Amino acid sequence: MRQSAIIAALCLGLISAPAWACADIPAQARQVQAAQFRLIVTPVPAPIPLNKPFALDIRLCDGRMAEFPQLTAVDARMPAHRHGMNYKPALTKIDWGHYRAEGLLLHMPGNWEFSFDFTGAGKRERLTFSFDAQ
Amino acid sequence: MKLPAAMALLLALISAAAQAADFDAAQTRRILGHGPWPPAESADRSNRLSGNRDAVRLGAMLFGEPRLSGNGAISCQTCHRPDHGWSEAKARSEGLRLQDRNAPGLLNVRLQRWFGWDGANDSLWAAGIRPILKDSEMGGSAAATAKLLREDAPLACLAQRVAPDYATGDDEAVLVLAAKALAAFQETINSPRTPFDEFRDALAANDRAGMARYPEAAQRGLALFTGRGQCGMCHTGANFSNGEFHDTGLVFFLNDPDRKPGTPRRADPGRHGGIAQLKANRFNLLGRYNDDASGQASIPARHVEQQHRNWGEFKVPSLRNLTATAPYMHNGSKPSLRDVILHYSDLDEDRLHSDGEAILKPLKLAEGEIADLQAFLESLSVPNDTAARYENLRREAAACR
Ligand code: HEC
Ligand code: HEC
Ligand SMILES: [Cu+2]
Repeated sequence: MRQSAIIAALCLGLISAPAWACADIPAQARQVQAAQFRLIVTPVPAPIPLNKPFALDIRLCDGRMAEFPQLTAVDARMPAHRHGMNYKPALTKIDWGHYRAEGLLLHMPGNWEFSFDFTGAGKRERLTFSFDAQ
Repeated sequence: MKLPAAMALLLALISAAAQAADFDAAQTRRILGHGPWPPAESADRSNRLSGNRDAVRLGAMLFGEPRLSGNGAISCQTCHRPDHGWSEAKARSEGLRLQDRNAPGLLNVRLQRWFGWDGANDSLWAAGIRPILKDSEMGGSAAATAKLLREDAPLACLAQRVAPDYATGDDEAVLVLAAKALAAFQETINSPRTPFDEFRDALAANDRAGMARYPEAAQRGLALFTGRGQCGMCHTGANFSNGEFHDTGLVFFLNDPDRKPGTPRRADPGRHGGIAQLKANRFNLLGRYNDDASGQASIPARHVEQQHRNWGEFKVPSLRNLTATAPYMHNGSKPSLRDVILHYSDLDEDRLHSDGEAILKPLKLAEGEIADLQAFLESLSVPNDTAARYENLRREAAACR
């Protein structure tokens, strides 16, 4: 009964993302504001080490959960050097609006552009931020 | 404050600023990033024999053991010579047949993530299985290796100490035991602090007298290395390697003396082939012989993915101890450090992939700059006592009863 109520509420897009996920934002997290939600990305370990594998904890906040798009890909590139990573991260969905990307590695110092690809409600969206690896 | 004292202070500040100006803030940070040395020791999680003293002795014994080879005449030491920085003078190694590549030096090899110029192995121990089994290299076998470890008295004595029930394992398990002992030994061949490390620590401590002891030519070479040369983009960290793979524009084709007329010239696929070999290798860290239950050690193997640009990429080598390990590059095509520097000075841009690394540009170095870079590279080498320690370990091993 309760469960189906929640599901119904979700379908109606009435429930917002859990507050706990969006309140305690670690100092090392990066945030990007999208139209429908806010993206919060926390590296593990933090800060991102050079030349060592790391993971990303990825949360969507400030929106209606049911309206959250799906995160379909995470990547990082060095635009000035015209190359990406040598590793393909694996993406797992932990919960509504909560993902983890494993197996990233930045192998050169300098500017990397992280990208997050979303699909939802028939449209695609890419959010990015830059990071200076040292 | 009296005027003369104030003047003296001002003068001191000005001269300090003039010296510090040799390295800007970004360069100083990069220089500090090439240390500290030695780096912290940590055990190889994938190898339960890592750090085990009897395994180190067993490994030292096996490293010089020609009976691991098919013809009973080739050991690891044949190509990785203790008195040559654990590499050899030949451009391309010769086992049972001529190899395609130069034998890399093994000092500080424990710091690598991938092994071989193409990174075909993801653990130090698996990198020791390849030469034993490869037909053209040592041409040995699991069966012969297992028989040797079961029947030779000192080897069996040490193997027993390391793994009491090893003799009941199958041949392949004994081969892996031998490889893990070889790795435990190779983890102990590390190189000491160099003049560069003294300079780096003096810079970190802002100790001007200490910094001044580093030869000026080496300082200028270091400024080029961390500045215009952009060398530290790939040769990063305390071991001067990011552990990854790049194309530096060397000639693709192998110089094959035995090539039959009319047959195509062979090229070395580098990392592209290395990833394929890694994935097909039953001894990789995704297989049953990985001792790491946490899953940490196998992260690189799980996520590495072959890409078109990997073709012709080779591993970034460490720049420590180079004075001992000539010739250079994966194919041994550069006889001296000066030749390597000239290569970076006169890079063939047409040869570099058009979609490739955008940071390599011909540096067009002046004669003085070439000498400075060489002085810097030489300041990363000092003699070490690993050859003598190897002989000691072998004596201790032979005494096992
Ligand atoms: C015939 C000469 C030869 C023999 C014998 C030989 N090696 Fe090597 N070794 C090489 C060459 C050549 C490479 C580079 C291989 C490649 O890139 O594919 C290499 C690479 C390695 C590496 C990787 C180092 C790095 O920095 O990537 C290790 C470790 C190693 N050898 C250990 C051993 C051990 C242990 C043995 C004995 C069981 C051995 N080798 C026997 C020639 C030899
Ligand atoms: C784009 C990455 C990159 C940059 C930048 C780079 N290197 Fe290298 N370096 C490599 C790779 C990869 C190799 C091995 C190439 C091969 O064998 O195919 C190498 C090999 C070397 C070697 C030979 C070492 C040995 O053991 O064979 C030396 C010396 C060297 N580099 C010095 C330098 C210097 C000095 C600079 C700056 C002028 C520099 N490198 C810039 C990637 C780089
Ligand atoms: Cu880059």
